[in-house]
Amino acid sequence: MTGLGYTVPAVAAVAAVCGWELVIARTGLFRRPSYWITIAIVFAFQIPVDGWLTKLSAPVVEYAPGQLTGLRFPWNIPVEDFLFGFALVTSALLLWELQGRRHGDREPKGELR
Amino acid sequence: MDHYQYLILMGACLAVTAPLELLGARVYRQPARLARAVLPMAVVFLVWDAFAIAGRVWTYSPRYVTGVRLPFRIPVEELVFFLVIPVCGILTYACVQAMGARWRARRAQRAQRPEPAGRAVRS
Repeated sequence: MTGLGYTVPAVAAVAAVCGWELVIARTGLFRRPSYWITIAIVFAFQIPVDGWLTKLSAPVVEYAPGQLTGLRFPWNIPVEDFLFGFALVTSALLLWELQGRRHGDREPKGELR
Repeated sequence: MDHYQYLILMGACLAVTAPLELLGARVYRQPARLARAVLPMAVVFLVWDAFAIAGRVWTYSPRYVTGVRLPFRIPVEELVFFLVIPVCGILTYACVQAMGARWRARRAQRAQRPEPAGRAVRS
């Protein structure tokens, strides 16, 4: 593997998840305020958790320097990690929504969705 | 203890999000739905992980992981990560939805009976 072995798949993962929702699944997830509030909360908690894993002083996970852009923010978190996290959580939420639809969502209609 | 750093962090994520279930998330109470949402994505991300590990895109400090490895040299901590983080995300989402629903219900209730008790007595 040469070049941006993390950056390229991370961008591709975000594109794939967005494409999945917008073209195939069409759950309406991206139109729901509760989804975007969730993403904001997830990112907020990703900073301490991921920050701990990637801190350069005592890293749990280390990245090959040539495989990512090298942009690290905040702290030492590679920016690619946020793409990774977005793709991971959004895809799980998509499946959760699809499962709910299949099982007949028990939640009442007309709520903040 | 250092070898458990990654696992402890994952345990902390579960602990911090656990109260969301009681705040109305109702996620753990739908175990089949949760499994069907989390497990397929865990497999997909473990495949990505296996490629990245094989390509040495990322490595794990032997000091902060248990050293238990799954096939394709994937640290067991990564499997835990791909289960825990989506569960935390779903718990958050379900809780935000439940709180939103409660807030709307309360607002609708208030809008329906803004008038003094006089009218209510008649009915």
